[in-house]
Amino acid sequence: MRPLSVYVHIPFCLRKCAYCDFPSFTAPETLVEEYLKALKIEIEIYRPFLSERKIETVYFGGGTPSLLKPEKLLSLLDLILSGKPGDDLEVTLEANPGTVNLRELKALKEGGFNRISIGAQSFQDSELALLGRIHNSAQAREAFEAARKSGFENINLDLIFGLPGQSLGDFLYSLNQAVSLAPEHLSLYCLSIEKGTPLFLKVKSGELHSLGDDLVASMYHSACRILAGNRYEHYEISNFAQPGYRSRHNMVYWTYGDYLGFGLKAVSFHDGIRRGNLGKVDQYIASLKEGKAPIAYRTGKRGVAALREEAILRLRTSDGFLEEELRQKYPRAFPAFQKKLLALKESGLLEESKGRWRIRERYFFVSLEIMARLM
Amino acid sequence: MQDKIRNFCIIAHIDHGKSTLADRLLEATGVKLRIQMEQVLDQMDLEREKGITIKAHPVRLEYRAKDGQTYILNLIDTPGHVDFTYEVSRALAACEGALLVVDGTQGVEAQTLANAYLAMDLNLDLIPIINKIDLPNADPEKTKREIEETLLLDTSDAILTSAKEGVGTEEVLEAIVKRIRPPRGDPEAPLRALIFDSHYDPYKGVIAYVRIVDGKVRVGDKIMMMGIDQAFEVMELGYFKLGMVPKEELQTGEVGYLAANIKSLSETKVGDTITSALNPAFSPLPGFRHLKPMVFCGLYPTRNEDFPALREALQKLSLNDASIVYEPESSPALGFGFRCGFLGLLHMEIVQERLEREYEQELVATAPSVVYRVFLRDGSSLEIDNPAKFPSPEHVDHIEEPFVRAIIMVPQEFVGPMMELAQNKRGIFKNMEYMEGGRVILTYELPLAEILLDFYDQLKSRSRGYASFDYEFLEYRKTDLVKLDIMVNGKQVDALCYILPQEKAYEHARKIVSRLRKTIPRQLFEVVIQGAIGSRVIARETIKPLRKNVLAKCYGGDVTRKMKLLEKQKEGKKRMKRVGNVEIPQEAFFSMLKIDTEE
Repeated sequence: MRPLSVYVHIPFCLRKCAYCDFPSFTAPETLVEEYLKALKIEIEIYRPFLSERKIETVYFGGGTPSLLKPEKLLSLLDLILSGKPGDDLEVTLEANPGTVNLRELKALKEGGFNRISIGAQSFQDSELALLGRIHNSAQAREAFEAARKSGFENINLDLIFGLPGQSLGDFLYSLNQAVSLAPEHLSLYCLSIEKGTPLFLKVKSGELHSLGDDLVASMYHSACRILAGNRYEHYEISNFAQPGYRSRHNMVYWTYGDYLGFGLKAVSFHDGIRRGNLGKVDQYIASLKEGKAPIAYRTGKRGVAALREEAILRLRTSDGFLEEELRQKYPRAFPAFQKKLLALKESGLLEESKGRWRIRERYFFVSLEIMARLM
Repeated sequence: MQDKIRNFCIIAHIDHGKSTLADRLLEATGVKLRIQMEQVLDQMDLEREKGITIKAHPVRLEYRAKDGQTYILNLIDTPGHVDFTYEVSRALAACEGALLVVDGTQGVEAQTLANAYLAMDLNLDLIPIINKIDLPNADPEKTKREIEETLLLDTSDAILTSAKEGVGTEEVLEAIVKRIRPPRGDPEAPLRALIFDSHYDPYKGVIAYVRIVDGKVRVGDKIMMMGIDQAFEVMELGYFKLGMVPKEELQTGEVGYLAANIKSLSETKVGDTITSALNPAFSPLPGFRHLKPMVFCGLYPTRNEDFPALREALQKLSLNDASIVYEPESSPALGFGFRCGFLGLLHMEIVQERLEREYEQELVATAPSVVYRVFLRDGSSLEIDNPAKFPSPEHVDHIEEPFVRAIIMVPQEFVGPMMELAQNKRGIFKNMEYMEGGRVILTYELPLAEILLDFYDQLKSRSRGYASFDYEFLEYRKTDLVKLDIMVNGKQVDALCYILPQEKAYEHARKIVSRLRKTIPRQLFEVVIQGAIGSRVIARETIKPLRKNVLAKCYGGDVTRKMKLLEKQKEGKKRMKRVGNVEIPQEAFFSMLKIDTEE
């Protein structure tokens, strides 16, 4: 039986950030209560499935899951694990600075959470304001220190780079601040300005100017060098970890592993089927009140399409994929796919050694070009 | 019956109202417009979009004249663009008269002159019509004087119309009956029918559009094409309304169609004479000069495996357009494709668009070229329609290129800019004539190759749209030309090489190379573009490598969306052609076209 990962989506925020196009919003307490009730029903619907698989990772993402009181988060976690926490379990909470304190973090740690992902985003207050974050850089540092003090030994910091007006120096300052805190894990996300967000409108109206690709690429490559010097492993396009501290949960996504997603617009993937939940909160709640799984769509990929998807997801990581593994999994589709691989190897865009295929780190930031050639 | 037939066409400069007048004539004679189209005669979508008529469609009208008699009027529509002068002359050859339509607000334009000269050469009865008199700025008297001055036509009985408002339609119909001769021709003589156009029908084979000059033809008759000495049996005859109307017999003077199970357009050459196989005529009709394609370009499928599909599409298309020629060629850069010949630049554009739209081909087209005559040191000579095939300079003694005689009509205040343009395009000034009302007729001799570039666009922009222009082939002349090779990362791209006049080589090479730098997107590695004459590099540009194209975030919930994004990127790549490692977009192969426009 393949192991299983679980994602829980908590869509509530104190305020929506200027760049955010995720399912998140501010909500009155009553709606939060209803949502949590619905979540619990959804978890129960999948009870048989949950109990037949070994759960290896649980991830609470958002939104801002750290807005919920620890006892609420813990009761959800208990429900998922139903009293059989494995010895080798990774349980992550996304936490935003300004929404956590030492007492609560301690309670979470004691209750089973063992990884915290802190949305620091930047250590420049002006940048945080531009992004529409609710916190300043001092609060980000406080959140990190509180997490350490309460016993978390696996902490991630999220940083965003490529903000309108940001200089290479501005970004490297934030990166240095982050590194000096010595987190086990760092996620560096290149800002993507999504349609409909306040940031998009400001850029469109000419109030802000997005950075040129060359500068953004320099930020990325500088960060890669600095983090390598600090012994972080660059194990996925946007993710860096100290040895042994990769995000196991996220690795499941990139290795085409099985996961269940609970909550608004959450996606599940197992046994070759991808399933997406409803994206409107009232519909999501209504469906579960009737005891119906809140499913918006189901898609299944097989053959070439599945092979392409798995290969492309795996190529996001520094592990890439083993040719033999994919050949065995997709015996019919692999030969044609291999031709494309060989062409890319010939032009130096893919690297192959001992049957393992990879995108070189120096091509990570143009990886979409390479992936498009595998389609 | 013969004296009750009138065969005529309408000639005009583009936009002077030819198609609208044709619609009015159709309505007035009771042709029911089943489909409510603005302009009935322009059938192809493209024609309506571009506002021009490309193919000549005959229509038969029945008109009860004021003398109480009913006449059969055959209207043969003509194309309205310089590229299609040839088709105009074909249509004219089937007529006894022509309506010369002139926009009363614009006056005589270049194509008015060109078309009127053609009609006069064929000795047609011309009826001057001043159109658009409903517009406040129409000046019929001035327009009449212009017609008299430039064409030496009597305009005392010119008809004033507003085709839009339906004014003057009745007068036009009466004039057709009274002022255009009935067809001559001997009804007792052996059959002679002129093929003036054709199209292909998948069920009936070639449909020949014919004008019966002598004798008559019946369904079941054995006929012969005099040009190729081949016999057929007539399966169907008829005339045109909005569609085809079958009929047992076509008589002397009539215009109609003929189907005889003919499978290939090469067996029904437009201009050929049909006669009776049993009682053949002594000599064919004069026909008209066969036009050779003037403009050539390479058409390649974007994906090599689509080559057979492109061949099939060209075959089908050429069934309906006998003026296209094509033959397979291969290019190291572009793979297998076809070298295609066209009547002119617009014709080339239309064919490309039809291939893409009607036949769903994805094409890469190379820059258009004229046919050069290359004389070699060893005394032999070559005709070259593809710059890539140019022999290396050390073998070349000299080169000749085609020249045209061009007339430009323009208001006086734009004479300066026009002369400057013609000068830039290596034009040789021939004549300048002032017309009453402040307009000027300029005559120049120009290399055809210069007109293929952006001549027409520039003519329009430098005269704020007032200049009109027409040209005809003149002769081949010796000029000083060189071949510019383009190298991309050291690899010569044959499809990007150009023939340039020596004196402009440096300047143009720099512009072409810089334009390529802007059209070719950044790639994963540095791309160097060089322009060279022989082994001498005269221009160079570098495209820096692409540095960012990434999905920063891709987690469980994003996968479906992100895969869609990848699909889109892949679609984008389809429109590119790979040369070595470098992906070159379609526009790049046209980078020479607008060489004089900017920078």
